[in-house]
Amino acid sequence: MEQQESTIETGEHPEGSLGQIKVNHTVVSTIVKMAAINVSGVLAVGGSFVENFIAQISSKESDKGVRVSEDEAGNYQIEIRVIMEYGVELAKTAETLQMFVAKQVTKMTGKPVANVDVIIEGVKMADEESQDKDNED
Amino acid sequence: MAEHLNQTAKFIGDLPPYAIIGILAPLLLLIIGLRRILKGPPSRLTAFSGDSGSVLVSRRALQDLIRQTCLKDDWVEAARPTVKIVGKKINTTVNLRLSSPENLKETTERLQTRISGLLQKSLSFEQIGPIEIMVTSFGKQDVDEPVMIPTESETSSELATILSSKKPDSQESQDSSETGQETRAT
Repeated sequence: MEQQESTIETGEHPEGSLGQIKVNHTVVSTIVKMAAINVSGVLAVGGSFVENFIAQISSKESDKGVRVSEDEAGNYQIEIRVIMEYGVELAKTAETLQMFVAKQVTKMTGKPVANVDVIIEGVKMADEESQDKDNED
Repeated sequence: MAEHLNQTAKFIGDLPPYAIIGILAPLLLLIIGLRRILKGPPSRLTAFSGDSGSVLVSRRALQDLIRQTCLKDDWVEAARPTVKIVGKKINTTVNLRLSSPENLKETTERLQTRISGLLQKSLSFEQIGPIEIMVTSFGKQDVDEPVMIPTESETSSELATILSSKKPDSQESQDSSETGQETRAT
């Protein structure tokens, strides 16, 4: 995943600028991941087998399943891959996820989010997912 | 430039036929492989897209969803769904192992309705293609040689006859699970 940083706009300091504040995309992807798992109906955040494998090698756990980029205007473009719980309304949950992620990222970074693309990679029972997590541990 | 081309042509001309085949065969396989990858069916389907972004569903997620739905049914012991995305349509085939041949028609019809409803309601998919249910075995035994029973051209009475001949409690039903019966309901 590309290592990029985005500059956050800050208010003018009375005695001049103190310097720029930059946020790495990895930080944004961590925010996205944490926001996503707090949405009811989302069991896990994770990409395809190949992507997960690359994330394991690069030891960038926070990047797994989340891709962050910026458009020409400097707004965040987010792509997130999730596993959802069986029984929930997938479309509704995905819509809630889009809104919640955008809200959290904007709130924490101060930068607007252009779009949040959600990719539903799998559907699992809640206990099935917790079993998988136990096995991974 | 022309000299180089002539030299290359001469070099290729001097090569023995088996060497040319040896070079061309892997190249051809590579082209076929790349064509298959690039022209292969998409693995994701767009559920909807709006101003805030789009929602895509992977083929695996659809298969998981259908499998879980099938397994919720008391009569289903195992389910193996296959989802193909053709254009904007989803073609679904589900291979099922039922606990018994009893209620075969009701079970398959119920599952078709459930799967269709689920895809429409949960994912807002409108372009749902055929949902093909294939019962491949009964009980714990797998089918060795499945027998195809096409139902598309059959009348309901003919189908009822086929189904009634599979009633359990008789030795015949036991045999059918051993020899294998495959019923397709589209």
